[in-house]
Amino acid sequence: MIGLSHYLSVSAIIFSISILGLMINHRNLITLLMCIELMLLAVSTNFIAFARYLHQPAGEVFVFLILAVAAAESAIGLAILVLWFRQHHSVDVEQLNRLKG
Amino acid sequence: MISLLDCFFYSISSMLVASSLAVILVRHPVRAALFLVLSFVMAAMLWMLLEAEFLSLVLIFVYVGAIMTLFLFVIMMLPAEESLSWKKWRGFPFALLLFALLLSLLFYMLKHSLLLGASASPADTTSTYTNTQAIGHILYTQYALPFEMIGILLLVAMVAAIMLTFRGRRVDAKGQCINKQVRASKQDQLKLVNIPSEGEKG
Amino acid sequence: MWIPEGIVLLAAIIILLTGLRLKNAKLLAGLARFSLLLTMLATILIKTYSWKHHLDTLISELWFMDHIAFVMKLTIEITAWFVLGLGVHYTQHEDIGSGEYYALTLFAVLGMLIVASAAHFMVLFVGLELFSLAIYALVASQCHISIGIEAAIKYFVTGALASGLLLYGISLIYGATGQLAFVPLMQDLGVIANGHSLLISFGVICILVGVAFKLGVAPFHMWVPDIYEGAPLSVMLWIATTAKIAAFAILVRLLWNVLAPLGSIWQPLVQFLALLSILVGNTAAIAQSNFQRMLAYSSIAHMGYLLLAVQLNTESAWSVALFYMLSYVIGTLTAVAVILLLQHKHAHIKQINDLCGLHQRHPWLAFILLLAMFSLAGVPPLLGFMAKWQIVQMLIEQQQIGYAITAMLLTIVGAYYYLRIIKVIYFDDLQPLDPAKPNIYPPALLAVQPTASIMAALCGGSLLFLGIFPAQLLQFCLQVF
Repeated sequence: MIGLSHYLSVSAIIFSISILGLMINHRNLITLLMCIELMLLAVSTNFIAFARYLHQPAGEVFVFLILAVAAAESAIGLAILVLWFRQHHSVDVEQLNRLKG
Repeated sequence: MISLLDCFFYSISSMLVASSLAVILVRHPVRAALFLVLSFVMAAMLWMLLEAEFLSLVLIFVYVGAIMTLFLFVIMMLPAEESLSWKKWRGFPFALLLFALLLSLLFYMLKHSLLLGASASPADTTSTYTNTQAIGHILYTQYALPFEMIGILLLVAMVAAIMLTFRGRRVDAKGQCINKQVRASKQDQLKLVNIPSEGEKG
Repeated sequence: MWIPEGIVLLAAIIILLTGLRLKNAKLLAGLARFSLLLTMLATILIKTYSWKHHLDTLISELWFMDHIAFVMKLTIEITAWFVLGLGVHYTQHEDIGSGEYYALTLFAVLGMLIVASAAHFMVLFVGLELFSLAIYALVASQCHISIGIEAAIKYFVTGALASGLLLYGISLIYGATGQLAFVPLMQDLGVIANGHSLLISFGVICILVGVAFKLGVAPFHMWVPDIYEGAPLSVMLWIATTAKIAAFAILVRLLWNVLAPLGSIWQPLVQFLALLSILVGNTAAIAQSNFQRMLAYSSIAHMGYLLLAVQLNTESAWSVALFYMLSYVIGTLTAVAVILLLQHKHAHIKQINDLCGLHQRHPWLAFILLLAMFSLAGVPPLLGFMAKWQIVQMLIEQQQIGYAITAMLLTIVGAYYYLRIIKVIYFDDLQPLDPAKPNIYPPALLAVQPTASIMAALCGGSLLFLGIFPAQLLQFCLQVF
């Protein structure tokens, strides 16, 4: 029987994968953006599973907001990516070294 | 005893996990984007199992239909370029260790926490219940305020994206000047020339 | 109820539309500042009205109208007004003062006002994203400058990661309690404070890490110096002051209005973050030669002191934290105001050594910068000293003598780099720009900017005045919580 914890486990795995992706792909901006999308997907799955098992739709409304915010975020992320590309002719952010962190 | 629903759940979620792993591991951005599309579709099916039909369809329409298209559009606009392999990165074992740690921590948390308030069974829905109606009902009443704010947020994203990428009008851009068109008179456009007819000559 | 937010929204849209035709940065900034003045007036009027008629401080579980919201909104509006006024000339000089720039600034203010009043996770999240998205774009607004875009990328990625973590934490807490609104959630958490599940502890940790990213405290501070250096100065001032107040507002809402009953989970973590930030900020700042990077590390250290007050989790400790926040904001505003007025070789001052001999060229500006540095370092009788003194006093009262002594010792380490700047200003000789023309010395005034000069003087004066007579402000802060 599939229960709440099964869904939560799936979203926990996706969340961890997205964090791993942010770490290992820290040089490619497009993949970084995709990892952020994956992370928000995991969070949304969490919210929907909880909303379903708590018998209240408020969590699903939250997911609605997350979807809209994720869309806005990726639009701005892609805009910044295009700016970066115009200057460096590459999406490789290995050259992010002018500013010493 | 494994029911059909369990079968669905396990096949969908294993594909979801596999395609998400593929997103972060493949080197070509177009393939990564296509795997991300697959992840979204699988997640939408998972949400369908949770009876969140509206959101699951929105996920497909908005994400697969619009945002991933935007991603692919931008990727195609940039020249095809294989990203540097993560295998060469020296921090990889460390990242993997952190990943394992996080995952085990999350699983430990899920195993040992009593889910207060959450009942063991999902909400029983009658035949007249629709998920869209339930969301719409509170979205436009109780949560109208955040809903309005989302509108402002999308406006900000639009303005910001245009501000960042707009490089000014091209010098040779073709445009319409209404003023000039209206003010145009016959004298400016038409020149009457008297041409002696051929017949008189001969 | 939503009049201040409505005014800001309307002004943003008007500026967006007029900015299409109007290319005068001064006029657009004036319009934005005028709308902020109206907003301040509306905030005060609504507060007095609701106070007189004893209106409810909570509207439909979504919106707080309490003292905290009032104070946060007013400080956000006032600092935004100052930041806009100080940055006008810079935006003109760097040619970034378009209508979109000012509209996005106002949208960011709108997001911050929303955050200050949020009484529900949805409202908080949307407000947070509203101001974060606007600031990502503002950081990248100098499209042709490489380090600006680099800073924007770093800010964007860390910001998105922070909101992802925050959301994950919120989802776990929602799952454990079934509540998204702050007031009922806090009641529920109070009931189960002792028998809380691992789900809640993990959720609290995720939320704390997310907020720590936004606030820029160690060990989540990697982005702060890069953003300060890479962003346009006017936007950097924005991030260093107004956005910090908004991040503090988020901290107050989450830790004080929601998670206060779970202090046993987050207090040790906040202690760790606080001490690490003070250590990292103060020691790393010594090695910096760039003025903006130094300010960045200084801000990390200051956020550490702030968290040292926050971890006590009592009403008076939160009031002291608010007092500290105000002192930090006024000090940073003053320091950056002076930098914005000066130039070095037709550009803005970047390196600390560019300030050589400022005293001989512009004694008044040197004095104002001296006040700012002394206040940030915590030298009596300035406001910064009073704020640090309050925190140390509070720590001793709560028997945390060890923390008090560590904080004081690290303050002395931190004083070194502020004093170095003062040495450069007052005791280093002027270096002629060009050996052939010995009469032209940097640093020079960028241009005569009477309004900005008056504003800088006002900030510096308030540091001195509030340092000598802090009682009123302190009393005010104590009444908020």
